[in-house]
Amino acid sequence: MATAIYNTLFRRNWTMLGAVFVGAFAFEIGYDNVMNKVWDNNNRGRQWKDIRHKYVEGGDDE
Amino acid sequence: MLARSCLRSTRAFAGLRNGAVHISKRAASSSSSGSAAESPLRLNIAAAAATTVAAGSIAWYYHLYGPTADASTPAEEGLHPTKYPWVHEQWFKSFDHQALRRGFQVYREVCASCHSLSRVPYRTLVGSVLTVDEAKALAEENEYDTEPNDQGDIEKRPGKLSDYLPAPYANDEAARFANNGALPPDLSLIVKARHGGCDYVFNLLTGYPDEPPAGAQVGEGLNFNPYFPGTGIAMARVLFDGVVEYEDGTPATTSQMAKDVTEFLNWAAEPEMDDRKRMGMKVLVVTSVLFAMSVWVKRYKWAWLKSRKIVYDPPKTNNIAPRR
Amino acid sequence: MGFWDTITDLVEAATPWATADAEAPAKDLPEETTADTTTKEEESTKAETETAATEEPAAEEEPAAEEEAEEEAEEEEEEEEEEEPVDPKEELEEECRNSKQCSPAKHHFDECVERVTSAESEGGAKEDCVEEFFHLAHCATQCAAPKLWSVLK
Repeated sequence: MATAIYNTLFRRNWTMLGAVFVGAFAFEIGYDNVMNKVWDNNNRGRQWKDIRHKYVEGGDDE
Repeated sequence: MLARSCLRSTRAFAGLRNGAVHISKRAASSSSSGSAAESPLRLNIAAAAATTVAAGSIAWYYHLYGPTADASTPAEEGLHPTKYPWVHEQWFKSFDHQALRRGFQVYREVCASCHSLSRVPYRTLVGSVLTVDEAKALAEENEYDTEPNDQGDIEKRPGKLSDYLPAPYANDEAARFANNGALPPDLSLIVKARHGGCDYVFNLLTGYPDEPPAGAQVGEGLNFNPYFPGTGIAMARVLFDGVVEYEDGTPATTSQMAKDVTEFLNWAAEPEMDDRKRMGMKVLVVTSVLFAMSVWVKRYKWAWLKSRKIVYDPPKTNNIAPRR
Repeated sequence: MGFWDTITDLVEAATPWATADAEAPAKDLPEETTADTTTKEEESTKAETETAATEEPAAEEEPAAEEEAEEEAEEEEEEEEEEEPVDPKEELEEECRNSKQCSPAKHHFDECVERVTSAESEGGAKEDCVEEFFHLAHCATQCAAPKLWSVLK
């Protein structure tokens, strides 16, 4: 297992570099998603997207 | 002024210190030269004098620097705003956008007759307070100058989303003239621009007492408000129960309106707050993980150093002759 | 400013009996203006004391009347309730003002009001109750703040 990872990723420089870049992107996407979910959960009902549906159909209730 | 006072204190202090040294010197020399056992009276006098000088200099110093000097009376300073537990001021809480919407309604129907909000364009209202259609309709209610046409004339056109909210007066002079000489401040950054921020604005709006306290001098054309420095404010109380009718059915009490409009003004001052706090939350989580990792790595790397033991093993001295 | 002025200034500032004032002492001028205002204030304060005297018993009756009114409104229509919402801030702060927590501040304020109004009716008070009012208002709002936030949306 460890040798397989070593052989595929760490052996050659360009695979290592690619793995770092791909890993960074993947981590950022995943982390952002999770933290945004945490944020939305913490501020449920307070944000514009939570109350937008009340006003978007009516349009001219102002 | 500062320089003068510094000079004053050092000079006076130096003079006093010289005097003290003189006295103590004299006391010491007299006690040592004369036979001390014979005249305890002189010793006593010396001790009493030294004590008096010490106590006096402390008292004098306290008189100069001890008591706090207030540059203004409490009335001139104004009552410090009471802290309220604003939810949107918590670290990981966004604005309550329903409240922002109510607050914008209060601003438009009450505050906007005197106060401008000149740094807020209609486009920023979209997606946080109004929908696109509402904002466009609102912008079109007002007229704005066009670019000069072929003849160089400037015509009027209905507002667009990129236009800024219209000011109630053409300029500051007109605003002063209309308000008895007092200039209603622009509210775009008012929450950032006042000590106490949201608390100050809320307290100011709701803090008008029914009548000023006995003996208080209220100038002509001014109103008594304890939270305004000097307590005389040109703005009269504007928020009364039921001045506004909220579209979402919230009872429009004075404090409810003041709370909503304060939160709205906070939004106007820092519309980026929601994004900033969300980013801040992410940064704090990542940096705390990284910090924990760095602490662990340091301990790991230093483990050999911290756990080593140095022992002095003296050589056996049996057969070795001591060196000369 | 001459050299001697500097020295006298230094001495003046360092002497133990020196007093520091935030502003220059008032000249004779304000007295004339206050004489005018005090006559007005006498009338107003007399009126105030009268109203205050009548208000105190009325204040006790008011909550009961409000409750009745609210019940009626609830019975009749919801719209009426929306038209005349009652500000919870006033009620909460009134409660706090009369609570044990603020009784020292209220005591001082009441005493000051009494003193000043009587002095004014005799001809010119030399103080005001702003500071006492500040302490009372601060105590009341601070006590009412969390309660108020639990009521408001």
